[in-house]
Amino acid sequence: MPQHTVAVTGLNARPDNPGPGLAVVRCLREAAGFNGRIIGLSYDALDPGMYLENYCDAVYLLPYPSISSMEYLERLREIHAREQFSYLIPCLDVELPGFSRAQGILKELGIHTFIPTNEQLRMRNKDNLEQLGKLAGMQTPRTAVVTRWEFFQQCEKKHWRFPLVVKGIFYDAKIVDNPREAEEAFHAIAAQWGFPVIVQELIKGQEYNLTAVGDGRGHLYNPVMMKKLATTDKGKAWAGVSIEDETLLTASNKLAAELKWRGPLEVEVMRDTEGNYFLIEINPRFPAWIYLSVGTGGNLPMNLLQLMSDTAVATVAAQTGKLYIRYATETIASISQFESLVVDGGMAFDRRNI
Amino acid sequence: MTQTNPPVEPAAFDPKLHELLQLPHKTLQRLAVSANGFVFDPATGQSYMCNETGLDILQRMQAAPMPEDFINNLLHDYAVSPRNLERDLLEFLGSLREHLGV
Repeated sequence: MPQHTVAVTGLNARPDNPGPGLAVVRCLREAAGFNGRIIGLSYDALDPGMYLENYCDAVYLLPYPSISSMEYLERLREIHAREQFSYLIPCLDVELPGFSRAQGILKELGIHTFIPTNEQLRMRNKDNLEQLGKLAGMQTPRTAVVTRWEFFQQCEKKHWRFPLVVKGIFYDAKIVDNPREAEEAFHAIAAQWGFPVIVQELIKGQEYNLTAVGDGRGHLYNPVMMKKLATTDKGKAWAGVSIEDETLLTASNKLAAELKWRGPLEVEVMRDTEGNYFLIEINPRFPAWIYLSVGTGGNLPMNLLQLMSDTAVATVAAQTGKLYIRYATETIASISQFESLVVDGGMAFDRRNI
Repeated sequence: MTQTNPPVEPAAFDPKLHELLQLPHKTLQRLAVSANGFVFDPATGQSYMCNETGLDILQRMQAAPMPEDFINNLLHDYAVSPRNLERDLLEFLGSLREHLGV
């Protein structure tokens, strides 16, 4: 494979809710035949991925994502002029609408992406879950799109039963047991992620997730499925095991076929104690547990790069029974590296001896 | 083990036992069963432990096709009365079906 330069976003890696960027970089680094450069893009000078020399060749800070803003695009142009990356893998939900709208500009710069269209992103919005469930042939939990906290004072009269899940439009979810907790969660989530806030009935059971890459014509490449075995306080996977669940696979294939999904995705479902499945959401990017795709014999980030570079993608059946366990550790950096990020907005690593 | 009980007519057992034994062979075959009784179901991600007897029964059930005289084979091989075997099998198969979600 030619020597590619790939930019990857989302290098935040807080233990309770890590971004997928570092795992994507790790997959590319371990991919057979990949000997390219990787440019890490992130939003906070304390994102751990900015300091890990084994991962990126250079790292840069971006202004917070809103690609319509001139500032964001200008910064991207500046980094591109310096690093000449040809491929971009966005790893955060909030980045996707902007990058999808800016396809023309990115193309002019010579930056290839393989991401969902704006219509596909609209279809997977959390406030469109019921429609999505119909496409998948799967039930969905009762869901409401809420813009006023007073909803929680009246909801029990409308047969909503606590506990409920209060979700941000992009991220975050809190389980609440009563109207008071619900109001607190509503205000906290709205303050961080804006309106509307999504309210869902809580499905008790086991969570199963699938990740794959859609080819934009209705086919999913190399699906990997896992069951969460342990979660963080935020409900993010801390340990899991690879599985092959026919119901989840069938629903995901239907979604890909109906939506003609383009790019990475994660499908989240719950299986209740009676064996009923509920579609919880679709994320338009790789999940933070994407390294399991390497653990099960494939490499979905590499498959994405192959699609972006018009290279054939080999079909790989993911192995079941592979366990992954996340861990938190520290890296040591010099204050001058921190200074480079804060003052210059980026830095390069000498990886010749790595 | 290794006590020979006289064969018992299948009809003498609780019909529920025959019903519970009708597990899809594909479902049983998918189970990864280790020699020490650790069982992993790759469809659900569940794992559980079987004791020595449970492991033997599970392995016999995984054999394709399951022998028609499955119950009498157990009676032949184990020092157990037909009633106790029936009771233990009902409990084991109920638990297995619960784990398998079938």
